[in-house]
Amino acid sequence: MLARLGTLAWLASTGMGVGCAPILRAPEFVGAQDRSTEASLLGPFDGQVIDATTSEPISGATLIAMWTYDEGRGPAGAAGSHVETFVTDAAGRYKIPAHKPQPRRAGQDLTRLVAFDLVVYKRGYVGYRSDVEFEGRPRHDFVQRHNRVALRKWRETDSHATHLAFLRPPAELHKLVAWEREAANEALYRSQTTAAPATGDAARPDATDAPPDGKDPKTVLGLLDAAPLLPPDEVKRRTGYAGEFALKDLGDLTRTHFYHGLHLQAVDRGEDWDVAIRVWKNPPAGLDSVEQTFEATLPDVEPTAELTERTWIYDSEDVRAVAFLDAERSIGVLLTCGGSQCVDIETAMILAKFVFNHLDRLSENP
Amino acid sequence: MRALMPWTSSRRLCAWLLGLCVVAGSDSAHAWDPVETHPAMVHDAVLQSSLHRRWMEASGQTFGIFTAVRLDPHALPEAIVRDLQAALEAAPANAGIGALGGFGACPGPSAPPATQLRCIAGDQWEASVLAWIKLGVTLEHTPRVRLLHHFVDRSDPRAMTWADPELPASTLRLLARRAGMPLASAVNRTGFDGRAASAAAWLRDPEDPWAPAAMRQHLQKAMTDPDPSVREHELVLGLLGMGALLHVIQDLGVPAHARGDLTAFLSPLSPLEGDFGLPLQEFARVYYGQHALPRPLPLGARPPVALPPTSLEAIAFAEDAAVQGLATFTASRFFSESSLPKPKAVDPRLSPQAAAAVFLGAETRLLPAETEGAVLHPWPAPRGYLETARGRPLAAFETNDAGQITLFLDEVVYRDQALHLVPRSVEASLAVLDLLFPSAPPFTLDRAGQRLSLDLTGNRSVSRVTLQREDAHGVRTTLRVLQLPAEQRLEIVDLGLPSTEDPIVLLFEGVDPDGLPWAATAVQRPAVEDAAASKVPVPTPTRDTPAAKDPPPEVPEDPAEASGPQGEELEPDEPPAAEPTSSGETPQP
Repeated sequence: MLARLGTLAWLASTGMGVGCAPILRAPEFVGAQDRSTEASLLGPFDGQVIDATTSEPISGATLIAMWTYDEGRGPAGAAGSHVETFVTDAAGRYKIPAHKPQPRRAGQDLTRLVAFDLVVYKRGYVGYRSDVEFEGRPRHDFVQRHNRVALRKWRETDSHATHLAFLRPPAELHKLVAWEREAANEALYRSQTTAAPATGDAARPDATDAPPDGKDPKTVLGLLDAAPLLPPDEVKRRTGYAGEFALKDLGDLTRTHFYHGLHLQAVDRGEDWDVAIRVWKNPPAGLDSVEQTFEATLPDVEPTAELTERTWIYDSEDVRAVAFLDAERSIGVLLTCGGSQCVDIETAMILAKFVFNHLDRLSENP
Repeated sequence: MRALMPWTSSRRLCAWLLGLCVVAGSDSAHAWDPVETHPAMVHDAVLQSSLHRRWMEASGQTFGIFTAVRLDPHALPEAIVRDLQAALEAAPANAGIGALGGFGACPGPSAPPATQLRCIAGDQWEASVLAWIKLGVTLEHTPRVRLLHHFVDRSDPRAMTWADPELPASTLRLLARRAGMPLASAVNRTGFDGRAASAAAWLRDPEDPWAPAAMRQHLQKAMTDPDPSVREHELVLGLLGMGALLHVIQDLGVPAHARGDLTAFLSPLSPLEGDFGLPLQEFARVYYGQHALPRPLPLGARPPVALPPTSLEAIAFAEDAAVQGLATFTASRFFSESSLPKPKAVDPRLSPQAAAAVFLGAETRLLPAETEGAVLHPWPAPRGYLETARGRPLAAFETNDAGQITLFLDEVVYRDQALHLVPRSVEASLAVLDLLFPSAPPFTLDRAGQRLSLDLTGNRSVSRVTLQREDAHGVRTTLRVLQLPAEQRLEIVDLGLPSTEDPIVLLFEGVDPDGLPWAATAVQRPAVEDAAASKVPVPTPTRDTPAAKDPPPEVPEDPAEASGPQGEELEPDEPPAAEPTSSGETPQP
């Protein structure tokens, strides 16, 4: 019945509506910092581009404004972007007039304006996107009016591969970024061949995040070492396991100065005897990103105050998991334990408590 | 770490909830969003694949996914040019999809510099490798009637056609007409009339210019043609086909596609007239955008087993319990809106498990692993969830005053589906990329000793290897063509190669498990060569480890095998063998 009602409603919209304006989706940004100005994907937009360090205005920066459409009642497809290019003036300012959507052409299906994106590019600086930050965090500070674009100066340790993957340069930037292509190829190749896993994580901004002094994080900051938090013998004492563990790094995420995943693989046993621990310390994207990871990993698990103020406990027959955030020390831990090694959730909690009580053992290895 | 659920903007959430309020309890549907989610999945898959690494190693570090490559429209049939122009017009620029150049992009030489920005000499189109692949994604839904071959049959995923029994044929014709089906096809009913070619059929389609068969031909030419400009042109056509293929494969990670449920696509997204679409598509677009696709960490200590890239069929439809194809996995574990069980009256005195069992008969076509131990939770209750034994929400439920229970999909269910299916779709895309750009077999080429050692014991059948010299302009000249036995290690002596300082290209060819030709190349450069001196921006995908770094092939214990059969020499212009050569056809040493 409901299916039939839905179909009837769809059939009732058979008028092709030639000349009608597109549907406008709600924008993801607000009108202005004070949030009192109404926002619209159509614009207008204005703001200033400045140097993040000196706050000096940046003139001659290229801005690409893109209004993107989809179309279709039923199966939807992309319907193109209206793209305009602007350049900042001597005071670093830009003004982007409001977009006037084209009425639908005869025979064209219903269209929707689904996104507005702004990309800012200036050689010598890390570029800017209105929807995401270079470090991979969603951007929440883009506003329609009086926007402030603070560009950080390019560092020698920045990766051109990360930069181009982040910018997703539209065709209008194709020639401007051409000089980066060769270096980007080399950087991506280097990250794929020198990092332990070939998962592409090294190409992600968070994995190549450079320290402020511009030195190689692997030589200056060292790699986080989670091994002292959960020695195999301590696990065996608490679970009664008589076998041996092989210690390995978890290969799905790159080990960095702020992350280490350790795999205690039970020798000659199935993975239900394995234990794994993932530790984040002072992650560049903050503990919020770790919390989001926990939520994605442990769906529908509500945090409690069991171990710390934010503790997630997951219990199933195959695997048990305890995750917690220590806000004071800026540490996040996710411990997973196979169902045979941890016969109940209490055993997993005992291991998690041991880790929590020994967080001060966390160190960096060069 | 990057954020996984970036919906901190209350406006964003409200926008989604508005749609959800309208669709909750009614029909809704889902596919991946063509503006943000599909391009993002392709973007991530390409960056994570070994494609870039193989190309860089084979090209002396000169060719990778950021390299700009060109396509000559003058060398294309008119219909293909029209397809490409339509796709370029529809491409979402915010996903980095687009190309410079094309007809009319170059004004006269006296025109202001600003008007020359889109100009590429010779009316050619130019974009990066990554952008061409993503343009293929747009190409695959331009016109949108192409989306009809992104579905599979409800009862037999491998069937060549599919149908949606929920909708009358007239509605389906109208829908197809709106999606760009030619009027003539609608009038004479040769187009979609309730039954259409399935994704399984498209994977084997010999006619569609963007289907795998044509794509493999382009990639084959991109490897084998002696002329570097032809190789580049053919490579771009192959990349476009690859993007189209990734689009189709990724859609099989959508329950409505995997369950042949087109009805699910006619759902109101907002109160606005005509605003019909796909709620999960909208969910994924709003919640994840392009930059934060879900990447759930494995709960188990060991990483999940990756799909083995054996064939496109296997990646899409394998039914092995350990390694399910994407369509099989999706259809057997997730509901789509119109394939939900019908409303039923349920006795509230039943146990939660028995109450759930009322809905979970064989007709749901879910795996027993999903249905056994499933419960209604909480129960009895006016609303809650139909959950698996592991607590995963299969559907939401609502009880009316008469005690009748209706199942539907809501935000919690969509979130669960997206968290499982988006990463799975990216994983399948990775498998496709590794399949399409295979590594060459391990080999050692000893130029001085005129000796070639090959290890052909991998799972790919190599029917022949061609040795070519590549000059400084990238032009290749065939030196030797050797017909090879399959599944063996062998050593070929007395190659008779001329003395040259040029790189030697080894071109391996064969037929893959899909019955389609494949090729892979590896380049051996003289040790003293300055790699920068012969940079030619044409990919020559090769084995993960370049030959120079390869250890010599393992010497088998069997002396007969150790010496190995000598390859059969063919005429350089002889076409590739359609089938791998049997060992009986190969001369013995």
